[in-house]
Amino acid sequence: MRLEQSELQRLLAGRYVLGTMRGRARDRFEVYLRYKPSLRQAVAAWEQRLQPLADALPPEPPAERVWNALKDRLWSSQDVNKASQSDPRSGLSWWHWLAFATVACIGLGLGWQLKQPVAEPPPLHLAVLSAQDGASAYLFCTDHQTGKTVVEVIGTGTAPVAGVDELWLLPAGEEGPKSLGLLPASGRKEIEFPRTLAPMLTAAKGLAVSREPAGGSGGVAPTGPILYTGGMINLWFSEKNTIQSASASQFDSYKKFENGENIGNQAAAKPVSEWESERTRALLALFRP
Amino acid sequence: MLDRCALGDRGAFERLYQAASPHLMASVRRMVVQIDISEDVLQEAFVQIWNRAGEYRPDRAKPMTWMTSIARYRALDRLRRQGRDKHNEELEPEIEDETGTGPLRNLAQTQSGHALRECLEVVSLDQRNSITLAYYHGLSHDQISSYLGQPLGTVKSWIKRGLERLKRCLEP
Repeated sequence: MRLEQSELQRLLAGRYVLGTMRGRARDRFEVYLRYKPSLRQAVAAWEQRLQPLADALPPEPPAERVWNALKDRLWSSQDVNKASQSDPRSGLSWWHWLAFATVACIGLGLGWQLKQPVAEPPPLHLAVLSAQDGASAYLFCTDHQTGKTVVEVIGTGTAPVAGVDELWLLPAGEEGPKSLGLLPASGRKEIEFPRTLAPMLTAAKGLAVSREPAGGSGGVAPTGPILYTGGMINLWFSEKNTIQSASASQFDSYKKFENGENIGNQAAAKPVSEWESERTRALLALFRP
Repeated sequence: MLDRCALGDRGAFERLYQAASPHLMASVRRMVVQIDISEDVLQEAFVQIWNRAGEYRPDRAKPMTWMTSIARYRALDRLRRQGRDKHNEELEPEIEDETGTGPLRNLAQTQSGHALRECLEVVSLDQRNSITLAYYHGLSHDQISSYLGQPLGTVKSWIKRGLERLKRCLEP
């Protein structure tokens, strides 16, 4: 998908707003929205253009019970924060992306200035963890300025098995997976990651998420099914904060992991399918200056 | 009102709900059809509006545009989760025939609507109907194709060309 072309961008934005963009394409588009301000503008422009269609509909006041239920949903709990956490995994609109993008760990394409470039900064690491059906579940990224690693819930995960999600780093070579801890059901989580481990991230085959019983796997190896996977993308920046180079992990070695080598219970593991690398290529294409 | 909601002003949120919900409901119900599910989607939309009111930027969108988009995208999510197909039989389509009835007729009453109305006149009836079937009813290319009894490729190109022409026409 050559999203760089503005004509194509506008058409895709139109189809997104109209709603004829469906399924995986829609998921993918929402990921792109996060990184492409121009795409967000194109979407906003279509929303505005078509809004008169919605305005022209005769109003239909909803039943009183809707407001009552809504109040209960938002404010009945003692814990007000609960409301802000409700429905965390429902599909997220581009407004969500927009908001996150302003605070996200990556200032890519948003023109953030990196004021004090380190002599040899490690690359920024990025991975979109997705289920085999293409639904994105988590975004993993590091901020090469602060060195912080953040994992964010970005979509409706498929959840065939009860339990908690555990994040795994798949290091290069023959080394087994390393647990990066349990993931939240919503929102984002900062992962404590010593900077000395940055080279390991850079070289990693990718990341995987397994569904584990409460409390996690114990940290040695995944015991539950692998639900989401994503290749590691490394982005090196120039002093001017433009992308200097990029690399993506090798998916062959990645498949090896998926096929059950190196780790414990593999009954429910699924092979990485072609779309995953397509997605990565498309993502990379977006970052090229 | 949205900025007051962002500060957690429940009274402002209620006023916002009273003002906006009839309009959002009109959009949602056309897409989702079933009343109970429409109400649920409407709720989801307002939960999101409440939680994200702080992210609303007046320089980027008008309040109704922002809220309508949230509601429509939540409706599309729901349709996707339901994997709906029976929709077509229950559809009371907002499409036009020669008599020109339906909501498109009301378009001319506002300034922006007037411009869109005029531009919709420029696109062919087929293109117009494909666009309104998608926008109002959340139909996919496939569903529009079977609804209109036209090949998928034809419908796709109607929508593509319809959007292109609309955009050109609406450009200042």
